[in-house]
Amino acid sequence: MPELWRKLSSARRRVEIDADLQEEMRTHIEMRASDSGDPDAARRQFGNTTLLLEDSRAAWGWPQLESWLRDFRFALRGLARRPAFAATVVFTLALGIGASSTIYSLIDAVLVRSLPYPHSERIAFLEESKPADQRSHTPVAPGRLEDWQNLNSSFEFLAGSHVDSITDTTGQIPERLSAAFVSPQFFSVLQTSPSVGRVFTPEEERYGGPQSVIISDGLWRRRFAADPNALGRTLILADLHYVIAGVMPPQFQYPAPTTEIWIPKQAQPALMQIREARFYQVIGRLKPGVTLEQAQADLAAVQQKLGVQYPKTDSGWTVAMEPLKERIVGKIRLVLWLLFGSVTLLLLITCANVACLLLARLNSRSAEIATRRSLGAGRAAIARQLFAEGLVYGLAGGFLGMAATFAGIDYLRKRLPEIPRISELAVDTRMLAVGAAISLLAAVLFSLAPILQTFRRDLAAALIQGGRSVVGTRQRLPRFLVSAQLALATALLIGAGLFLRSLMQIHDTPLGFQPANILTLHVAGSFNESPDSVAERHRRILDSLSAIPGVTAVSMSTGLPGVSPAWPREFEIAGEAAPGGLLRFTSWRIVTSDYFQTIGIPLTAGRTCRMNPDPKQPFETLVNRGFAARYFQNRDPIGHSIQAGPQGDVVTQIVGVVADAREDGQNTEPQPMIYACGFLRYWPDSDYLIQTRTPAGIANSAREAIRVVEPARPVYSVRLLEDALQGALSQTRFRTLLISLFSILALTLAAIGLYGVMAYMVVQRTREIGIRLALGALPGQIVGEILRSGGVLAIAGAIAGVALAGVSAKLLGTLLYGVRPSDPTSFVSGTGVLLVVALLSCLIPARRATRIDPTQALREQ
Amino acid sequence: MRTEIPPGTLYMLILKALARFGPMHGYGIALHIQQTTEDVLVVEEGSLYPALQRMLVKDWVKAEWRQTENNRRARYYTLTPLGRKQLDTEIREFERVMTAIRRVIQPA
Repeated sequence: MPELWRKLSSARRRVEIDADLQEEMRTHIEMRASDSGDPDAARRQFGNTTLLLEDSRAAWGWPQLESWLRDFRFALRGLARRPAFAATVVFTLALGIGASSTIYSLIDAVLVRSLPYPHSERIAFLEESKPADQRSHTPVAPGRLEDWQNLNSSFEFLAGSHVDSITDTTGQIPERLSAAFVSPQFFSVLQTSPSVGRVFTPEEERYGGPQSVIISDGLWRRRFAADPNALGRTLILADLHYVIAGVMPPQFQYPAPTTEIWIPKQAQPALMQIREARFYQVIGRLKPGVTLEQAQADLAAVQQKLGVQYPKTDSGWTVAMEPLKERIVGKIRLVLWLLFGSVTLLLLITCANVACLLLARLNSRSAEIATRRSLGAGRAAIARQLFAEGLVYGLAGGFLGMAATFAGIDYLRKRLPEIPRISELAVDTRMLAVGAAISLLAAVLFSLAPILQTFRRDLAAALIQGGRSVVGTRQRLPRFLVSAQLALATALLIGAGLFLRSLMQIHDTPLGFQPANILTLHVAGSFNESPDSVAERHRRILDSLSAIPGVTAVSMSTGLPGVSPAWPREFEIAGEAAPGGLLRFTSWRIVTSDYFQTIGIPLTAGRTCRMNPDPKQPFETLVNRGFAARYFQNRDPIGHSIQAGPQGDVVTQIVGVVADAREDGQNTEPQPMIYACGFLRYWPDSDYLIQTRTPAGIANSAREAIRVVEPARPVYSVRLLEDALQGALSQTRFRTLLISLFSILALTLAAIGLYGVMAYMVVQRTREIGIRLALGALPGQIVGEILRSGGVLAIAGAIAGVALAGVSAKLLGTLLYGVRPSDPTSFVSGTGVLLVVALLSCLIPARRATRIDPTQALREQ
Repeated sequence: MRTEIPPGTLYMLILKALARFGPMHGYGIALHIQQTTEDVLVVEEGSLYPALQRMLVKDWVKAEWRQTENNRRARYYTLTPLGRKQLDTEIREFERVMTAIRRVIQPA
């Protein structure tokens, strides 16, 4: 393109072109002057030489590009001239962008994005439920699942799975692997094939068929260094040989992110007949075009028919369904939106703060801008320059903010492993695009306010003032922005207060048991073992543990108290029909008889239970006071029998009552509870609890003692009960920490903003204050006046913040514990902290005002 | 009465002047436009120069320094073949617009 070439080649002769033009124009004016005899008229007729020269020069260049570059250079120079100011702006911005895009990425990964399976919106999670009882949601019995598969018309595929841990003795040292036993069609529901190898064949899924296993990407890399020849190799799991059939891709994390192996369930025909054996987590793939509601109605009708066919086991039951994604992330949603809300407030504060800073800076530059305009700079040129500045700040802040986001995401992934789908959290192009968009938007916003303000301002007035200020300059926008920041900070402080108070309430509430001096651990076991051998093993291990010197009590339970919620299970009190003929549900724990002594739950009536080694004899049972109060009112529960399951396949006799303990969690009220005493025959992988005066020191002796009696079993999750309790609260604590952090940042930023506005006001009024001091005004009066005008901003902000907090705290509802959303303590202390900090940030400028030297103030201006 | 030249016609006027009277310097072009239009059209004389620079870039005109009759050094502009073609285009375009305007203002 010749034109482009001419432009490019002209670059070397810029000076020459310029000289030519100048000479040409001069000659023109001279010729005109000598023709007309009037040099002034000639000049007038010619026009503004400087401007024309500029225009002519522009013909050879890329005027747009060049002026942008010039504006950028200018902005960068300005930045370098005031490093403290620039650093404040850029860091504030980076903070806002970094914090918000980290949290937005988290929300995107967990809540917004679909699950990593094709057409995942069609995958539903199914449970059995009894409409009569809210607590009755349970997994599905395999026999019933088969009936559903055969009779429904809404699902392409239905499949069940249950998780278990399994001992792998392929290598020298036994290792515990996290396994999922899956029914046929499991991989079809998720429509995901192994990245290497194949899914199970129908023969492998049948009872008695060949044993095969699919392994996770992680296990494949760890154990086989990602060797494709791992296919066909054998793993020895629970003493059986399994051939590796495939490797799942890394994003495949169902049923659990920790799952390392998938094994076909190969359910025995006898098991398929037991309609009470509810253990399958069922997922189904809806046929295209079928809604969840239609499928729900369809399966409810199917279950109704089954209720007629099997009245004893199936009547009164129906099907509960929700999208699989909802099942996985539903519980975390509220917390994430809470973080979203707080981080958005923080982002708004940072934006307001930066806008304030830039406005204040603009005020000190109004004279410069007015001069530029009167010298012929067009509005567009000034706007472009201001925009270039905004862009420089926006990009610098955005760049740092991105770096902060990378760090933040990394931190969250490490810090919050328990959040579902956290492994899908990653820095991705979308997030980068959003970050870039935020910084551009911020740049536009930053420059917009100054641009508008520039154009509104009276040019002549600004020139006359020449940078001098007038008494009573209204800074409406900055004042509003500061008030807004204070309001948002108040709301965040109150929110943080509510969470802190919740956490304190949790810690202050008595647990009902003594978690100190207790070591807990697991010994790997599998559902493949026979119940008799499981019971035998438990007894052996308990004996060997209690023989360790210093151990004062040893017991087992189906869950750690205060850490793992007890499962609800149906029951009947022998000889009493429940109202409406329905079964009741309540929390059950199966424990050994020393459990109560080990964790210090006091007996309040009757005696403690005895272990009956014969499974055919009824268990002895303790109930808690809540249970006694709820189901026996004024009667004595001792001596009554409890039956579990409609056929009464578990019969237990109540021999005593214990105090209520927070078994289901530290922030959950004690529920009515049945403690059945036994050797946990059906619970091969339960919790051991060891009471000793030196729980940490006993860990190695405990491992050694178990190794002697069970050399092939891995011992895992060895930890103090107190640590486990802390761990159970880690998410609660972490969100409190994050919100407190956000609120402290918000408070700091708002304080800086207020300080900036007040300090600027004092500078603006230097002359006025100087005169007043000279005329005898007392320093106290001046201080009072400045504090008052800052106080107005702070109080206005606090009021708005309290209102905002009042409205939004209602949404927190279930996240709070032991405090009402309108908790006066949190509101008063949050507002109080804000007002005190606001006062402090006004004090410095106020004191500075009283030190103004009148003579100097007058001389300077 | 003197009228500012209609926007967008400056190139055409310069090209036409050069086509009619041969190589000229900027002042000459200004004079010719004024004289030819019998002082009806007035060019802000300086504005010729940015236009001429743009025309140089587009290769519609060539420039070289020569002596004037009064022994001054001045830059003379000459039409290039490309400039001649551009003149035709500009005139055609101008006629088209004028015809359209005439249609609007003529009584039906």
